[in-house]
Amino acid sequence: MPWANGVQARPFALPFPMAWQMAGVVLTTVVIGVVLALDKRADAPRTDGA
Amino acid sequence: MRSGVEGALCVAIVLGTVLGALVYGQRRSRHRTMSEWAIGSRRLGAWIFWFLNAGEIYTTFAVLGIAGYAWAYGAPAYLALTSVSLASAVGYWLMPRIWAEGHRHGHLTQADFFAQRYGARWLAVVVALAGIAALVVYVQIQITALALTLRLTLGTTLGPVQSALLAAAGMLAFVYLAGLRSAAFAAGVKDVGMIALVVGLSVTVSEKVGASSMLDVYRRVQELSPGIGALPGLRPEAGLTTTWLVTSALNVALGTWIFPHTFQLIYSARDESAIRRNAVWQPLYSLSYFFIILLGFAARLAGTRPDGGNPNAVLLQLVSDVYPSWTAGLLAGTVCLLALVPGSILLLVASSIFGRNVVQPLRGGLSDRQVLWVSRGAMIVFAGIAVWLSSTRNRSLVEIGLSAYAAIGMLAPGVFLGLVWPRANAAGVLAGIVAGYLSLLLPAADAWWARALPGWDRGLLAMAVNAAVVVAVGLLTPSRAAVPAGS
Repeated sequence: MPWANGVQARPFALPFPMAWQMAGVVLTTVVIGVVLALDKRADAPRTDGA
Repeated sequence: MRSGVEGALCVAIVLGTVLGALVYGQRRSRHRTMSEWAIGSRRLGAWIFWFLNAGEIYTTFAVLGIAGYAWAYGAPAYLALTSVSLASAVGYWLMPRIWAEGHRHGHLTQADFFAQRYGARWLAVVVALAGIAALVVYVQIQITALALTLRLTLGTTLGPVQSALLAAAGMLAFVYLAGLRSAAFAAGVKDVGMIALVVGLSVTVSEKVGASSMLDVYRRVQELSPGIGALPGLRPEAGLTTTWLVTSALNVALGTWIFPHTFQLIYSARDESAIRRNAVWQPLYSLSYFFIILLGFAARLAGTRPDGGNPNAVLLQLVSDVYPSWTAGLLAGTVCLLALVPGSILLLVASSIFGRNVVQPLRGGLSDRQVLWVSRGAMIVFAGIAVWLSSTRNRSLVEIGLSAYAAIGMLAPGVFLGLVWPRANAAGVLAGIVAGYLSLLLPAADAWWARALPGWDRGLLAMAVNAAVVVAVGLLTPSRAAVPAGS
């Protein structure tokens, strides 16, 4: 974040730190989605928190 | 502004939704026990769970607070984007664990979790009171927003204290007449209404403020106010630096799931996979802050001047200034619901915790019905405290929100360490809460932090002190005395 805050570029006219945060949001979704898929494969039979 | 159309529409939306919610609630439930009233009997379907959870994003904090922050400070409003992603990552790990523990042991409230994990009923009382304190601060956000909207829409003849009292009375009336199931209906209405309004306003606002497109609003505002797009924003003296953003976002993320009402939301989910899927999609909801920040920046281009420079009022003032009165009425009505529904749910949660984890253990032998009445009475007291808090200091909704997170963060070490570290024990959790609150509230500690770690979020620092104390006490206690995790 300290690095992104100093970048002057304006992708799509947005302030760079804001575009950076939004990219982070999308990345988070992808990462958690991948982890969910991996977890499902790892413990498929687990149903009731056992 | 303040035309008859605006006020009438606002009142019509609120009354219509409340009536709809009551009919819906009546149809769905005939009997009322403590658990029905408090967590909807664990039978809430996936879609209601989703709406209740999405409703957590579209709060007054998010809509009025972040728009106002974007208008007043600029870049510090990005906190909303940062914290939601972090919170989802934490939630993905934490929520299924809380859910599994809750189902295995039949927990109804967060304090139940503490009582069972640490094997100490007195700790549950302490935790219940600490949780209620944080909830009351959170209710303060809703009361501040609802009171403000009432004042702007229905005319300024109402004083701040009167409008805050009116707001609290509205919330109490809603809870007494309804309960969680009816709130789910009202939450659905406000979510749909808010999404429609935010999209509608965002599409049209650029034209209203003399820009050619949404992105043009961002371009122009950066030309008008250099420095708005990067931290520390428009008022460097406020100390909202990158350090502030990172530490505040971390504290919010760690505290998000620790709120007592979030625990009860998690318990009301049908299974673990619903919770996990939810954590995947949660960050995407936060992209909608693009529109909220857009509206805040647009208000800057429009030269909006809210009464007394109050950032919380910026969005309502902007819409009132540049839109027809029916739009302003729709927004005011929806914002009222936005504050009314979560405010009511929070009061309900606070009172049910009070009944179950404070009154019942201290005064055993009361019937279920008596406890229900005592908790309903306590709710009035909680609402009163929230009104008092909102009238003592006029603060931005984001600041109040961060105080609520600082308060709830005091319970976070007990939850996280309780789940992963068998040696964490009740005495340590109590000592941690006390140490944390001291470092949060003592003026001397405040001055010391300001010198030692400038810009750091006080809530996160207090949480660190708290966790360190829990670990220290855990290490000093003989290990056989500890309760193994998940027992």
